[in-house]
Amino acid sequence: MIGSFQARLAVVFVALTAGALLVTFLAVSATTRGGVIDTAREELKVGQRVVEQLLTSRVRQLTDSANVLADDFGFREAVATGDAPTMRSALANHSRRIGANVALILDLDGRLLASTAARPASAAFPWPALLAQAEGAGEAATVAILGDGIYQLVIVPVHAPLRVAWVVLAFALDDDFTAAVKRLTGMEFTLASPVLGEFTANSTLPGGASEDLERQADALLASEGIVQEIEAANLTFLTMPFALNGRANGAPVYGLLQIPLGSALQPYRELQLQLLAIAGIALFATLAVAILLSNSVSQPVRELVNVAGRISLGDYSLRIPVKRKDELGKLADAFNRMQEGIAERERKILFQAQHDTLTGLPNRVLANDRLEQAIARVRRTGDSVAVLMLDMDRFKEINDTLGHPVGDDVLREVATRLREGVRATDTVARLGGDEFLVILDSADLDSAMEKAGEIAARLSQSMQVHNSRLQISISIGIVVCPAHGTDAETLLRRADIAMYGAKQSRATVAVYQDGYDERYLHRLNLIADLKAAAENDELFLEYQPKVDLDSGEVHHVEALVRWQHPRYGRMMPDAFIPLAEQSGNIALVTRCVIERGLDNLRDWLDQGADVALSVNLSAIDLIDAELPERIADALAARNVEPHRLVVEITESAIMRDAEFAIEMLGRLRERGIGLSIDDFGTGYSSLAQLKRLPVHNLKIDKSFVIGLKADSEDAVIVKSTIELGHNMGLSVIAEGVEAEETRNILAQYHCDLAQGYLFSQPLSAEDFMRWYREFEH
Amino acid sequence: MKVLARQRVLLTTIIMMAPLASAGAELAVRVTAGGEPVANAVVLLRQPGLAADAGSTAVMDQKNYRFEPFVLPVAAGAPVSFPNSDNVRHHVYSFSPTKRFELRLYSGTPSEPVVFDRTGIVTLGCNIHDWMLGFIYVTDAPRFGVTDAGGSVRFTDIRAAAASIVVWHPRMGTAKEANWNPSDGGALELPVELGPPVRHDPPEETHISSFSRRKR
Repeated sequence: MIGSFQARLAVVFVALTAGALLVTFLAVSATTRGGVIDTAREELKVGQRVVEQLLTSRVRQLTDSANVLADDFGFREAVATGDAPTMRSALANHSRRIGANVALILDLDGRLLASTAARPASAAFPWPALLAQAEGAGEAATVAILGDGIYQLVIVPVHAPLRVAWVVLAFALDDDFTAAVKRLTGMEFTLASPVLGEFTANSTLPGGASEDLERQADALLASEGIVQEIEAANLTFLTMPFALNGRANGAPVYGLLQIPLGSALQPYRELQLQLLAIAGIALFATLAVAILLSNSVSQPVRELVNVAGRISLGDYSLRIPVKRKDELGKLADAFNRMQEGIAERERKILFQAQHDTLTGLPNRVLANDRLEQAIARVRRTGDSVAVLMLDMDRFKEINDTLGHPVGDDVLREVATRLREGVRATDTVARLGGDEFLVILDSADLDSAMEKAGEIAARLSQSMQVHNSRLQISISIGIVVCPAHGTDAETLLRRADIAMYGAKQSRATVAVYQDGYDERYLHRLNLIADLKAAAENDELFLEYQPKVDLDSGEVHHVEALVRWQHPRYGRMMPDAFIPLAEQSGNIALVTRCVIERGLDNLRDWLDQGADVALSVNLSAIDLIDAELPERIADALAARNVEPHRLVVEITESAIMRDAEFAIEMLGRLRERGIGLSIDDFGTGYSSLAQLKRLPVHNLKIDKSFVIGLKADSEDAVIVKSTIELGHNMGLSVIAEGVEAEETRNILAQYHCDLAQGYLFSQPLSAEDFMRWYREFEH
Repeated sequence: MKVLARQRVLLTTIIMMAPLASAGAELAVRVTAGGEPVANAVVLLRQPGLAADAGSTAVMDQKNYRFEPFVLPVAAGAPVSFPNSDNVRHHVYSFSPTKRFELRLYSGTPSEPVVFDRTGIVTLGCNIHDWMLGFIYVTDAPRFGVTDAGGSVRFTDIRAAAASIVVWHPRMGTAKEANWNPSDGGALELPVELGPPVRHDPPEETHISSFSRRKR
């Protein structure tokens, strides 16, 4: 129920309040206690003055009484007699009148003349200081110890009429006196003297306290006039000891005024209780306020958290009611607006995420989604769904030659035509680049092929784009669910494979066939491996000599690339060069071939051989504008003369982009590099184009040479090709020479060079050198 | 001071005029304390063969709450009357061993004078008025006197022979003795030491005193 914020707020509130209260409590307690103690101290001092005042007033009273006694004529007469028994009896008689406990008569020198004390007193008066004081002032008083008791002594003269003697009267300071002190001061009062048998003489304290006080007598008397805390009768007393007589008058007598600490602190305790009660109420109130306050914050926050949780789950439907005008109200309002904003942006983002911005068609993501739905429908209904994968042929060329704006317009036009060519329930999507996908609901293979043909026809109609009329061709791969697969991934991959099949076979439309898939995977693997192959020395060269048919000498050798694949074994160029071209790795292969070939050539030349090396370039290599430069650098690096390198390019490669090829060939030729047209006779080159090619040699495709027979159709072609070459100033090479007869025919036709198994199969560099030496000799 | 100076001149004149005779000689004794004259000092003079003065009844009056005179020397055996000149009663007493007596509350003059037959000092008091103090000096000396305010007492018709002198004052613990020879001249100065003053005046503020004064 109580959230952590709430709990924390409550804890902080209560802790702060408790802290403040504690400090206040301690401060007030300390101050109050100090004040109470100070007050008690003052009270004790006042008490001391009260006691002293009481004693003084008693002295006045007692002195007056003593004077009355001393002035009594009869008494004076008795003293004047000088007769001890008379004096003693008069003393006893008169002192009883005024309530004196003990009475003495001293002569003027302080000698004792008579006493009422039971014990005979010594002759000398024990308080000479008192006597001296009386002689000065006419009378004197003190508190003193007499026998076992504490007495107040007054001394007055006896006149007859001159001073003839002193009368000393002793009045006991008894329980009545201490009780009177207690009555007047409200404090406990004790009379004590260290010379008494018992430390305390009279006390208002309960019995038993006396021993406690006696134990602490030394400490008490050491700090006369100073209030101290003393334990007595199981209570703590604030105790004020003070002297009742001067040191000169014999043994010291002390008064102890005591206030029980408990009673002194009584108002303090009450204050403490009140403080505690206030603190309790304050803490309770603080807790209540903290809970209310935190609730007023945390309740709306919980609502916001709830809504935020729903937003995070994608539910934007819940609006927070905005009831408050404060910050939390504004926050709630901001939440609502944020929620609407998120919902709106999510719709946009979702659309963008699922649609192609160029054509507005669903993109790969949505297409995948639709396909999944269609598959689910197929599973449910047992119906079938057809998937068409479309790819434009040579779209890259349109982009490259006409520019991207044209390319984009073409794509838009294709999208429009596709959309128009299918039912509304069908899906048309752009997967990326020039790749489109059509999902035909409830279509079997036949209807899909029919629809594909229709689409192909529709798209092959020329289109007007940016003032140019264009005609495009497409390749379509078809798969049908469930026949070709029951999951989207498989279906798309197989549709892709079928589409490639269509492209390769130039068939426009192809249906996926079982087995396509495995070849496709093989290709993919090879492409992946090819990169590593160049680096791992898996590519190597074999050399096939070209024999001069006229002289029988060997001055040319062709480098043929091989791939020692770790899994598939030794592979011929036909198996991987097209892949390298398609995957953009052909440059790697070409570079490898040129460098290895030139390395070997350098070796041979160093060994005295007089040969030139032919290497094959791909059509893709011709696009690389820096190729002539690189080849020149490779030659220079090995100090090989350019004419010892011959570049062979297939006729079809040249014909793909004749203009560019001619320019590139020209640049190679400028550098002195030999040029040769490979596979001549397969590339549909026109004589006009052939005439413009800056080549030195012509190599007749081996399909015409293998099994060449005199008077055959091939023989006519070979003969006329040789003559054509010669007529254009080119030397002619025939490859695929496997039989003696073929060699003879070629020699008869004045073919310049021949290569083939008849002379040598392709050899390693070392084998070739061995073969070369044997052949020469 | 002027008066004192004149007296001194006079005294000197007297001493110079004193004849050196065997009888009829005179002696002026002056008692001083710290150079100041001492009044109310009793001076006794003894000379072999000197006859005592004819005795007369001495009077110790009570006047204005005082004994008057303060000090009264009397010859042993002489009666002293104690008239009361105040309008209140007095209760004169003496606890002195020399003469213990008590004249209970009375006014006027008691019928019988008190006879002091033993030599010594008698301290007088009044039981009603504590401050009242007086002294009677009972002596067997042939000649005695009390110094006046100038501290002097004069002896006449004494023999021109050696004399022993005794001086006593209530403020002196014991009497002082001195000797005189005619060759010393007719004047003798006797310095003495006095104790603390002895109060015997009625309290200044007492209305009784003023009342009685008014009455008189």
